[in-house]
Amino acid sequence: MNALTSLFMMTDKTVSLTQETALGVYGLSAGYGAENVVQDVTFEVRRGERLAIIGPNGAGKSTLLKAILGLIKPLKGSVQFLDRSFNAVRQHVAYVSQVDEIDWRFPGKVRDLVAMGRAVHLGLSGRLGTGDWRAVDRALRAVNLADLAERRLSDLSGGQRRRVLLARALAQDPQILIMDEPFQAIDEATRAALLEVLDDFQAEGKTAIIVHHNLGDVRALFDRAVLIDGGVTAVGTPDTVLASPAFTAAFGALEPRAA
Amino acid sequence: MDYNTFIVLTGLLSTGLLLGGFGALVSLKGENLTADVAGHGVVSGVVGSQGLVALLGAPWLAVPLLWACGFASSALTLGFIFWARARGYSVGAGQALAIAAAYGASLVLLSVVQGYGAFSTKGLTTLLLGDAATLTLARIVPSLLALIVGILVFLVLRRGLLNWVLDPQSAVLHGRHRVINLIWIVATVAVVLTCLPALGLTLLVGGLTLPALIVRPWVQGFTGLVIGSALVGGILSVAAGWLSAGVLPVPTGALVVVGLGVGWLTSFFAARALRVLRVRRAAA
Repeated sequence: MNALTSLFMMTDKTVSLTQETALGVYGLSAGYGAENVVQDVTFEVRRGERLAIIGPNGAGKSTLLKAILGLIKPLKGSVQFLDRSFNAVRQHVAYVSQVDEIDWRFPGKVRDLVAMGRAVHLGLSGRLGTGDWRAVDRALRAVNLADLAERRLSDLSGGQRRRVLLARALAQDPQILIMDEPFQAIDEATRAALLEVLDDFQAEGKTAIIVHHNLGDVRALFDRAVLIDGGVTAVGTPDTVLASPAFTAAFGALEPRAA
Repeated sequence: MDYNTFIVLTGLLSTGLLLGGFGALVSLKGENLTADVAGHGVVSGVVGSQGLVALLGAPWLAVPLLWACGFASSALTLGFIFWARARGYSVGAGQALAIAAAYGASLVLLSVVQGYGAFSTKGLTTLLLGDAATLTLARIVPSLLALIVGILVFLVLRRGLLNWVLDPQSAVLHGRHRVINLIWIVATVAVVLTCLPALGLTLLVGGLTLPALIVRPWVQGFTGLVIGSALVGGILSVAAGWLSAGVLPVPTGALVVVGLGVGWLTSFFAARALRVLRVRRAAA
């Protein structure tokens, strides 16, 4: 990557989307200040897979996601998306945060916020073309929010806000979707909409990596799971991870129950 | 209207438009105090430039050095906030650290420079309180230029700015934050420097914050807020300047901020009354 590309953090247009490994995390340590919250984390996620990142409270799941996305600087280790650095493929990676930083009293409309998902494909001005608006409308329809496109952000309920953030991520048309506890504190309608979106997403051969809190439905919802407790302590199919000694060590003799 | 009054009112109009429009962005980002920090950052540069002029014995360098040093010291102070934030300090802590450093450096530099008689108390008072009544064409040209550039930048980067203001984390993920942060620092310093002659350091934050607060209850969108805030800032500044020139013999800058304060109170209570009225109508 040349200096100009690096300054403007442009993405690499030549990246192949058919790589077998969607995400590779190798020896990653991250934290705040000099203190490690997660240490020496290594795992891979295959293309088209739906992976759960599970672990007890304070295990470092959100910190891990932030380090993977470069929102906090890793202390050591490396991360590769589709065999490239995040900078090279950022247009293919969307993130839905757990505690969003959005001021919901902001004087804007739902459509404006969802349109932000297109920004990574556009120049600095962020000016949207017809194709971009089409992607925005498609994303709104996917999460059943087309009727609320012109609604003010301040008028949305908690569940609707979640769906707007999901629509923003979908409007980006990503290959890899990373979400931090999307199923937490949502109503049944939102949960159903979210699951439908994830099924469609995976049917297109795309990858979803999700920090998940409810251990009871890990088996039903995910292809594989990674157990984090300061580092990777188990990885594999949900059955393998939930039956592992590491799981018992992290959660005690807890029998996962469906919500 | 005589020429001097025309210049003063033009200067106040561009200052009000600039502060109002930029203040809308600053308020939406919740960083009103950042502009205050930038203002305090200017002082050490201004004082330093006067010391340099005395040291070099080159009075003809006074104005260019004043702008260059003021810009550099203010940009450094703002850069410090971004640096602190990138290292995990909160916005408030970064602002507090920067303002403490700016105050300390300014006072030390001021006592050194004043020791050589190179900076008068009157100069300091003007820097702190501004002096709109003595604005000249040369002193309002920078704010007029900043206004024109600001309008052009807003027209081109409107959506990019909206994204960055609404969700900074998303701007980081999209890799645009470095460029926009740089634009933001330059814009903040430019606005602060060009508006200082009219309002001074102490009144600047009022001029930045109040127009957006006045307009916010009455607009729905981002563009409406920025334009509305600019118009309110411009109109109330000119009105205060006109009052100060002919009716009320009080300092113009103070009158601008008091006028904006009255405007905010009126807007606040009117918006509340309207809400109550709507609720009653809905109940009926």
